[in-house]
Amino acid sequence: MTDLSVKSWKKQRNEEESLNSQEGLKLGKNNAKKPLELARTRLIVAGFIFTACFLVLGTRLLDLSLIGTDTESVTSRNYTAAEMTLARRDIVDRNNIVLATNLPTDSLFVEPKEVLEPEKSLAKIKTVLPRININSLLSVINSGGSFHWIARNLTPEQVWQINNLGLPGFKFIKEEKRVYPHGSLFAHALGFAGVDNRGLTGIEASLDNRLTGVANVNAEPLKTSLDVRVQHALTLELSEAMASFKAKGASGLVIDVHTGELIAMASLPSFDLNLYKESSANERFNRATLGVYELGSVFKAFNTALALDSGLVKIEDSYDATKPLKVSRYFIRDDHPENRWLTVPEIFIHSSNIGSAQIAMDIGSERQRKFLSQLGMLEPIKLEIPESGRPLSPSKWRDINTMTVAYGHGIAVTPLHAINGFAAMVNGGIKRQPTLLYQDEIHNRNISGKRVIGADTSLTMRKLMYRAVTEGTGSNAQVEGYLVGGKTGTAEKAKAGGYERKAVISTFIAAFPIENPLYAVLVSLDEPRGNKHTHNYAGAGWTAAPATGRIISKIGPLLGVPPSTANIAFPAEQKITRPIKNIIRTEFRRSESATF
Amino acid sequence: MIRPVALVWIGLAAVVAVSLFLVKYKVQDLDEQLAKLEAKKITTQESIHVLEAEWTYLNKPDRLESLANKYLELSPTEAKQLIVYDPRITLSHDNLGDE
Repeated sequence: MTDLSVKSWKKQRNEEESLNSQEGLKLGKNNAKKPLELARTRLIVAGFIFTACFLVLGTRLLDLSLIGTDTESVTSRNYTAAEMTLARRDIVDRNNIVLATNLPTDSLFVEPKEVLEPEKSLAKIKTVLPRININSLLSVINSGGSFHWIARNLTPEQVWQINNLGLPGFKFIKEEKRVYPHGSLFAHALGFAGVDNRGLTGIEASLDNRLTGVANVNAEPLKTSLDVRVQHALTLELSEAMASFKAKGASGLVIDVHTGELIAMASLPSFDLNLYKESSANERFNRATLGVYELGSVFKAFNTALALDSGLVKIEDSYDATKPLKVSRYFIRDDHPENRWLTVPEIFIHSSNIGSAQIAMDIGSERQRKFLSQLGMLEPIKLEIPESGRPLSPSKWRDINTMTVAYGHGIAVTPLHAINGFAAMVNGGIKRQPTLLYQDEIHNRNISGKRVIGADTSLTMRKLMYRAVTEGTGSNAQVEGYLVGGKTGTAEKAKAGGYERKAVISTFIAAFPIENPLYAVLVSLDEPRGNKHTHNYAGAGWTAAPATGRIISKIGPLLGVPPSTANIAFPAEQKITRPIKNIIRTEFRRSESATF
Repeated sequence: MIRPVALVWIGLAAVVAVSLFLVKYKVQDLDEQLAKLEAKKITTQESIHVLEAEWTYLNKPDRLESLANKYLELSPTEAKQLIVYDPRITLSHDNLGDE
């Protein structure tokens, strides 16, 4: 209506105007009337524009407020939902079971200016928190100030009780506390974070940057390669072995030989991560990755593998082990003397130091040093924890060093070094970087490594390790269901100017199922004492090997490792059956061969 | 003198004012509701988080082991209880089919 009237009016006006101008031109009068007309025109135009604008705005307003179209969500502010935040991410195991988490707690502080009756108040608080020191707190309150901690991370019950006391000046602040539900189980792998949520040891320290930073509760947790069940089985067997052999300490590792993932890592004695303040230095010491030890005969695996891989020593070669080997003023003796010529497999199986030393001399010092360096035995391993031991190796690689290194003396490495090198011996010859972080299924296939020995040498080594368990020193590691291959190592502990005969480190490293190894297990006992079940022997074959066997029989089914059965694992023409205990073992010894 | 056009405008303005007023209050109300829900959500999240930790604590392997020993007649799986799928074993219906 308005538009129409304006238009018609405008039209009329235009006509008038043109008429007027014509008239003005013609007649030269009515000139005084012109500015007034102009003003009127402008007013009308302006009015028209404003009307149009208001119409648009009005329509839009009605549209938004009354009619309400779905354009609303587009124009609304970008809304982010509030989430519970955590100062530190969770750590989970490979099956997403929580290993470390942050829980909200309340901490009690005092504002001295607001306290009415300091002495009475503190006495009341002491009934709830018996640990507080009244005298020191009293002096703090009397000296003024605005803030002082009384107790951190209280339980909900304590908070409730203190609130019930109704004391002015005593207030709570929300805090977060790092909690380790598994207590001592992952003490050395996880490490702990202090009261200010800063990692101090273990994964907590080295991956502090990835763990800190305010994250909401749904943030991706840090996924480790560890497995709670395997860790439990390992820790349990280690602590039982430690108790029955009165060992000073023990360490154990389980590694996936194809990915380098550590499935379990234990060091005993251990401590409760939640009570880390009460732990001793000995308990905090990580024997699996920080402690370096001469591990003894397990090095024969590396020595034999190098010898066979280099082609300088043939598997049929034999060496004189009839009497101890004299090198300058030292004697190299055998712990299990056979006093005869031994073939290369026999040297490995019966763990002959004399034979190994001679093999090493045939290979040569330089080649040995280079090989061990390739295996990473001479440098600290970079794991996702700061506790990493630097191996001790001869500074000058003389002949005597070459000989002793062949059977694991004169070189000290961490158990982690040993199992990682061992994994390379059995997995087809690829050395990989060990890790504590979960490796994705897809990425597993591409985990790069460095070839250290040929695949055929690795197969030979698996056969030798299998024979070391069925015929040799590791016979106590045999288990029902899986073929196990491994190597014992009993090393006398070094003392000033020599070795202690009675104090030994007994180590056993095994891989299973040995026909196609998936996992390797290391068990190392520090100064075990023989008992009557072991006829007072403290050697690895009597102490560490049976524990390893028990661990394998427990974790094999847990990890879903298919049992070793002759029919399926091997083609019919290469038939092999697992020797059942001792009866078949003697038979096996006679044939002196393992067929895979 | 009030023209009908002006009346219309006044009416419209009144409607707009009232609707704005209503919308504003509705938004305020919704904001309050949202804040309440968010607070509740965070409390619930906190509870879930704490309960998850407790659940893990209650499922500690050593605790489960002792409980299983006490109440269950089950024992850990042994290797002999596992079997492997062997492609050479053919299922009976494979032999019957395609005749």
